[in-house]
Amino acid sequence: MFGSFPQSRYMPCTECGTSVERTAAASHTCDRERALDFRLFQLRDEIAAFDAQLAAWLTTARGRFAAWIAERDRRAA
Amino acid sequence: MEIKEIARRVVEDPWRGKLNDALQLVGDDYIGYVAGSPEPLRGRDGFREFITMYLTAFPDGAITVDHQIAEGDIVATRWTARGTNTSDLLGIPATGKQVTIEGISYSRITDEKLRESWIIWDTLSMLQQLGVVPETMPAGTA
Repeated sequence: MFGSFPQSRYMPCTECGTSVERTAAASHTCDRERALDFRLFQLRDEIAAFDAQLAAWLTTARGRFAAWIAERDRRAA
Repeated sequence: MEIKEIARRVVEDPWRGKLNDALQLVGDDYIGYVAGSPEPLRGRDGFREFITMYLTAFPDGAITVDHQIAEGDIVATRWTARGTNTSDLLGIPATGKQVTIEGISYSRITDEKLRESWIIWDTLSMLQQLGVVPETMPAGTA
């Protein structure tokens, strides 16, 4: 009866995550804001880890120096 | 209230922020048979637990009733659900993907309360949409 398992009638767009009916896939255009939200959601663990990584790096000699340079440039601006 | 209306509210209202209103329509003796679940849902607590699991996984979810047929104390309701998976579901990490799922609830309603339901929905499609199982798999390779 089937040459393969049944395919879903709907699939999420790989770029924006929106549910799209297969027959309408060719005419689908991503909403830019939704695409950005989708990308941010996929990177949520990395984004959450970034603050901790940055805070740790700022305690290193390189980090302290970079922070000092940045502060000097900010004052000079 | 007409039994079709009760069946519709039980399906749609939890997704409109009215879970407690829907629970008022569920009998204490309720038993729900969900395709793919080894144990039936029992009572209002069982119903609440089941719905809450999906409300948590798809917080922006909504269900639309597509069609209903009633005969005696039985209502068949065909529905379409759509929602974005932003929390883990049954051990599946959240995907951020929006899914659309079709299903049928077959409900027995007496004295304005839902007593029994048989819920059948396209689980394979949901898992394909979430990327948990491949979209296509040639027969005989499983």
